Amino acid sequence: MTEQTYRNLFDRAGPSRALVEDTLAAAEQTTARRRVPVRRLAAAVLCLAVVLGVVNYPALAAGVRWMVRYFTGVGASQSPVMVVEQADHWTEGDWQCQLDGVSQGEYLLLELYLVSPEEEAHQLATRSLRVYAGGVLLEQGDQVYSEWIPHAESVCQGQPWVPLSDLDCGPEVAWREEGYLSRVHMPFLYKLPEEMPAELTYELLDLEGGGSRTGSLTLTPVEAQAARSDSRAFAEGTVTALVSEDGRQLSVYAHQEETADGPLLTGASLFHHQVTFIGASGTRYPDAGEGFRSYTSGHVNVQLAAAPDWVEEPIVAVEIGALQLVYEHDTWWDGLGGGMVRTQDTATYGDLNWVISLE
Amino acid sequence: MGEETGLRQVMERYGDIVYRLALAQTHSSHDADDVFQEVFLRYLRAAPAFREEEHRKAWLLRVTVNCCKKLHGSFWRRHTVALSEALPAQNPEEGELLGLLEGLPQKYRAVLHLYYYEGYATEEIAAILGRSPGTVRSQLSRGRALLRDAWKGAEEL
Repeated sequence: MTEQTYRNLFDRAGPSRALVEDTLAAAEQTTARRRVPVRRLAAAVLCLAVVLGVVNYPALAAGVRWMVRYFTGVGASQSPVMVVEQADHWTEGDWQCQLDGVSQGEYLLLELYLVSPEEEAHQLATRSLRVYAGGVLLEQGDQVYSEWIPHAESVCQGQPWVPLSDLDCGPEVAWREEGYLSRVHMPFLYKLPEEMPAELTYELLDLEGGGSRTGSLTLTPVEAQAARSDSRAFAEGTVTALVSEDGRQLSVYAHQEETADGPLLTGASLFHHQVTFIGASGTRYPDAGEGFRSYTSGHVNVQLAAAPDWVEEPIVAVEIGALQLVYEHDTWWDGLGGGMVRTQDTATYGDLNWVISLE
Repeated sequence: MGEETGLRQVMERYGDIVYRLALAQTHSSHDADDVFQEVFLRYLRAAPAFREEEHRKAWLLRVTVNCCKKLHGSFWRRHTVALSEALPAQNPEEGELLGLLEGLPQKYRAVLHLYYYEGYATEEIAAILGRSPGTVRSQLSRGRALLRDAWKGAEEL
């Protein structure tokens, strides 16, 4: 018995004609929902917010004056943005480790990733990360999310390993391509001193394995650049999308405002497969995925998608198919010590057809 | 070219490949039907651009495996059925192979199918499945060991 037996067996399998026709019919319905009429596209172009200048450019969004800037390689922000110039990388056995970060205004978000070639499904990781500027220990950033950063005194406790196969955006895509199978993500939030430091040092402590590591990080300001912007109002709040002038980068920014009904929008996330860059020829290109920075942590709120590097033709429009909004709201807890508690939730919007044209 | 025409062409070209992989992974023709439809609807929604036709095929195979995994974890997944219900044996040799395939754990199925049926090398399978070449080699070896009785005479890996 050889592989020829296997081949003979599966040679007889195939989709039925009815299945093919049913799939085409379902596809036709999907296309009908997704198609953007030319008039609507033109209206979207007319509704574009101002083309921003390099400094001091107001973006007009939903009648509210927001100072949103676009930073090369990072995305949209209301306040000055700095990034870790070069992420720190090291290995712990088979694990690949990465410490990277971004600051917005007075808040610094550092993100630690441990990436494993194995499925570490039943293990949890706990690390402590102390960060110093000029020898002074940085304070914890106050929490916007009630539960998202469950740590005290720079400790990230019991974070789960997540299979990379379940993750379709962020740096996970590149790790998966390299053959890694799972990762732990640990976000740490700090408050920066008034005088913005350029150099930071850190002490990382493995509270389970007992190992430790020290290192340094350099923060560097990113350049603001001209962009096109457009905003959409959702029940949870307003989201502004900014497209870089060459059309190759897209960022979304959640306006952190309390609405009349109470929810506070704290973040907006792009889905990797729901961002399309449209070339001058009409060809649609997916988000490149790699190099995709996806920082959302309440105070630090930056999202970015990019056209693939190999696309040579000019990009004339960007389409966002779906967004996930993260928001806080009050809810009634009737358990032990019950009462009104602040909680975090997400809302996902699909079939947005949100087209931002550069023409 | 309209979207439907484009999708029809892609389905005509890769439909069998997607369906066979889904069937090899799920062992159920009903599940394979669901996966087949989901894969091509995802293809339509994502509208991915590919530099080479081989990348399109690899994308479809990868999404097929992902959809199978998703289905496996779904509460609504149908009860497990025997592969022989979808592919009845036509001779004793096939019957013996079906018996062995039905006992094969899910994690080895796609790897074996891509290797023996689609003819991919271990590095290519690793790229498609997002696993390391070492993991794929080990899964192939283990999968083959489990099918040892059926694979007498097959070439050494």
